[in-house]
Parts: sequence; C-alpha cells; structure tokens
Amino acid sequence: MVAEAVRLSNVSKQFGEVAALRSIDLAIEDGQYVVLLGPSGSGKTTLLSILGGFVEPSSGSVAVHGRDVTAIAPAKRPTATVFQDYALFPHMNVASNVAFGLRMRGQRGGPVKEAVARMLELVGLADFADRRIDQLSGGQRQRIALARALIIEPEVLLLDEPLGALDLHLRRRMQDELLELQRRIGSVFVHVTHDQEEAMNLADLLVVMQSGRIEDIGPPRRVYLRPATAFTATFMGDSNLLSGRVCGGECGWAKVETPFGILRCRGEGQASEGQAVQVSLRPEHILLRNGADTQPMGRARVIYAVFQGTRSLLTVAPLERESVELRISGPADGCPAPGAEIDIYADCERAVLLTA
Amino acid sequence: MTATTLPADRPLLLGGALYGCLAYLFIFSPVLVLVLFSFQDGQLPIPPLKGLTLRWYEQVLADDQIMTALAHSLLVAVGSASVACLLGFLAAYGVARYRLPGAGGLAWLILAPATLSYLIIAMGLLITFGAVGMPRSLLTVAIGHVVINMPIAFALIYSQLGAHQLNIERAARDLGAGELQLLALIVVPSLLPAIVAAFALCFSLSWDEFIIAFLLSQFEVTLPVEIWSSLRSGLNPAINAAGTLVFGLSLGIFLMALTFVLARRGIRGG
Repeated sequence: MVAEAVRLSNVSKQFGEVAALRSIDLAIEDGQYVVLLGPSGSGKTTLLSILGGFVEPSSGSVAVHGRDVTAIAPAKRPTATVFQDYALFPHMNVASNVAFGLRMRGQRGGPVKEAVARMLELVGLADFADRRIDQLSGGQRQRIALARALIIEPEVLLLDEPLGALDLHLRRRMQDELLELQRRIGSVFVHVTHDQEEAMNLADLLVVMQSGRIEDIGPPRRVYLRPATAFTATFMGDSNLLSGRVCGGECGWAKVETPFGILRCRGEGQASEGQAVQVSLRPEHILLRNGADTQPMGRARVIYAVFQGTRSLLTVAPLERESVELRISGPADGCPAPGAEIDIYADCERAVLLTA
Repeated sequence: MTATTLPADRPLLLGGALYGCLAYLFIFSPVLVLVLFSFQDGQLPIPPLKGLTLRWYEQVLADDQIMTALAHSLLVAVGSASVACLLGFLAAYGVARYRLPGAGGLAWLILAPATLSYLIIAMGLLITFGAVGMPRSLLTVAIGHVVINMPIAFALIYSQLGAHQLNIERAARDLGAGELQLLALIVVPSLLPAIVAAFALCFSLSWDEFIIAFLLSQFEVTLPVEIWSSLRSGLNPAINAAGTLVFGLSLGIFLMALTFVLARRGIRGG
C-alpha cells in the first residue's frame, strides 16, 4: 500500500470578490509526479502557492504525510519551491545559492560543501560552483534552482511553470531530466503548466483545472481517452463535441441521438434516457473508412486540409447540415483535397459520453 | 530589449555629430571655463589666459575657512545621504511588501516633496525650526537635505522591488530564512546596486545644494555657501579652484557609483 503524501481537503481561496479556488479535494500518493494543468486564471498557481505556504487558504486544510501544515510558514514546511523566474540570489555564486537552505538550518563547513557538490553533480553542473549567476544560461539557471530546492530534501517539490522560459528543444530535454530526477529521488513533484504536451510527458497523476475547480484527475492516458468533462476533452488535445440526447442503452453501450444519426458510445447508465448529453470524438477517432467497431456518420465535404507532418488535419462539414464543422485527422499522404466529398465513420469504442 | 539601429545617411551622420558636439559644448563649456581659469596666473579668472599656476589651489587648501566649509559639506552630505537612503529603503520596502491601507496614497505622499521647490521647503523648515526653538546649524541643513533626497532614494529603491525581487525573497523564506536573515543576507545585498546609486545621487545633490544650506545654516556653513560669500568680494581664481574641487569630488562619487553598478549589471534577472 502506497502512503498518502499530500491531502488537500475542501480548500477554497477568495481574492476579494474573486474565487480563485472552490473547494478543492486532492490526494497525492508517495512518489507521484503530479501535473496541474489549466489555462491562465484556472487557479493552478494559487493551488501551488497554498501547498508551498505562500498563500493562506480562505478555508480548508493542507496535510503533508498526515501532518496538518495549513498554518505553517513556508520555511517550516517539508516543501520547497522552484520559481518560474528561478529567483536565484543575484549577489551570490552558484555554490552559495545551492548551500543557502542548509546554511539557514545552521549547517556549516565540510558537510555543506559535500552536499552542494552532490547536488551540482545531480543536476549535471559539477564544474559550475564558482560561477556567478549572470554567467549562466536559462537552462543552467533552471538546474541551479532545482539543486537549491532539492538540497533541503523536501518531501514535496513544487515547480511553478519551471520550463516556461525555455525554448522548445531545451524544454523537451528538461522534461526528460525532471522525470529522471524525480524517479531517482522518489519525492513527490507537483508541477504547474499550461502546456498539455508537457503535462502528458511528465504526469503520473494529471489534474486538469478550470475556474478554480478540478475538472478531471487521473493518469494522462485515462484523462485523454476518457475525459470526464467537455472542458477536459477540448483542453487536453482537440475534440469534436456533438450535442445529443440519450435514446437507449444495452450491454454497456449508450445510444445517443446526434445530428449524425444515432451513435453508440461507452457509458450505459451514466445518463438516463432522454437526458441531454454531449459526445466527444477526437479528430483521430473519426475515420475515413469503415472498420470493426465503427458507425457511419454520413457524407461530408472537405473545407480545409492542413498538412501537419505525420498527419493531416481536415475540417469537414456534413452535406446535410453545413453549419456544423468537424475536425478529422487524415493521412499525411493521399489526403482528400478541399471540395472533395467523403464518407466519415465514428470509432464507437473511443467516443466518450459527457454529461457535464 | 534589443535595440534596432537604422542605417543613417552620411550627411545625416555628419549633421548628428555636429549637433552632438554643440550640445556637449553648451553643457560643459561653463565647467571647462571654470576649471581652466582656476589655473590662471593672474588676479582675475577671465580671458586672456596669462599662464598656468597651482598657487590658487595652494591658497584654497591653506584657507581654513574654505577647508572647514568643505569638511562641513562632507559631513552634511554623508550624513544626510545615509539617513535619506535608510529612510528611503525602509519606506520602499514597507510600501512594496506590506498591505497597508492606502498604500498608493502613501507612496505619493512620500514622493511629494520632490515636486516642491527647494526655496519653499527651506522656508517651511525655517519656520518650523523657529517654532520649536531649534537653532540653525549643520544639523538643520542635513535635515533639509534628508527632506529633499529621501523621495529620490525611495523612488530608486522602490523601482527594484518588483515581482522578481519578491520571488527572490520568497525563495529565501522557503529555504528557511528568518526576517532578519532575509534582510541582511538577501534583501540588502541584492538591492545594493540600487542603494549605492541612491546614496551617490543623494550625496552629490546635498554636496552641491545651496538654497537650503544658505537659509538653514548660521555660523557653520557648507562649501557652496562659503563660495557664495567669497563671491560677494569679487571674482578671484581661488573661487574657481574651490569650485573645481567641488566638481571633482562630485565627478569622483559619480564615477565610483557608476563603476560599482556597472560591475554588477546583468546579475539581476536578465
């Protein structure tokens, strides 16, 4: 049984009239890499600040390994934060920056030096101890900020959009490094980002947030393939949302009457007959040919076709209702041209019934 | 920020260079004339230049009154700049870091003296000191200089207390720093370039200041006031020599501050 590392119970935060967080409940297990994903203003950074102790919740409680830390100052918490702008101390060299946490704990001399060397080794900057901060590149500053936070052996490491300032190539490399570092140390990492690709690459547990609420929570695979809400379906990757009404169900399938005929999707019993629902179909789950578990959606005309390297993205409108547009993933080669008429099919196994 | 430079035509370039030379000549010719005629080998600091001598410097450096006034000026400048920076720093940190009722109005109130003329401030202080029975002295001059310089120190230091500096302080707290450790090990050292710049500016403004020093002093006077009283007995190259010394010290302080700030440039953020 894996121990519970962090528990947020009914946490709310009000900034004046604005509700930044609305009764958040969140449990994190030991050793998990948690990603808080959401658009700006979704409350993800506020949540991280509450975990770090920089912001006090208006109500609710925060516990780390069973200890209530709600009223405990950042300095006394078993957490450490890596800031978005790194917040390295500009007047100190690399070694003094990294050593700071231990010095504040009253440690001096040899053991501190050894710990600093070990941390710099860990982040791959062993030769940089004497460098000034302004002599470092963005990626190096990022690593020093990590080393400085990790030296105090936090039970939970909090990362506030840590890769936001780096270019795409470096960002991907740092993602790999962060993941490897987390696996090696084994402590909980809580990482805030608005980049869904980054979130999927890193997360054991993905928390999708919007308007101060948790929209969906689970492993990235589950969140992507079976999103809990329409917001998650559209924010985590692209999705076509079809409005419809439940018109029956059997053997685990729900039947939904949509503008494209009756579609079968997984989730019988999630909604009662006659209830208004939405069906989420990702572009890659609308097919151009009939298959094992597909269902025809009628004929459609291609409006745009955008080449995306490994795939093409088609925008199509059904012949019978030109006002609706669907985005479909097509092959990179031999993709239908704009104006062409094609038959489209829904991959029923992948269609998701959404009641919210 | 990257600066983009446009290619310039040759005539435009020449015109620009000429304009620049004239502008600098306009600004610096009074100083050049002052310095040049402090070496005048004659009784009057006016053309023609009759030859070069250091005897006016000798006279100034041997003049007890001028040397005493110079010591007073140094005392007032160092004292008032230190107090102005200390108060400016505390005010800036307080306004930037604590949620105070009416913080915006407070910052405005602190900056307000910078908009008043020195004459008005000096007269106000003169009346106030008279009312509380405080005799005019170097102390009252220094207080006057704190009044005019504190807003400048406040503005300079306050401008460096933005979001990045806030995160630096948060990081230090997160890693276990107490309030005193935070101030001594993080806040003051990381703001040192701004504090040094503020000190240098306050120092030179006080060092050069005449109106407040004139109205608020009595028996002990500062160098500008001493120079002014010597001027009443007519022009004299010795006064040029004293003026050159004043200018030289201002320049020295400015260059020192510039070197220090430049040496640490780029360390914050960027």
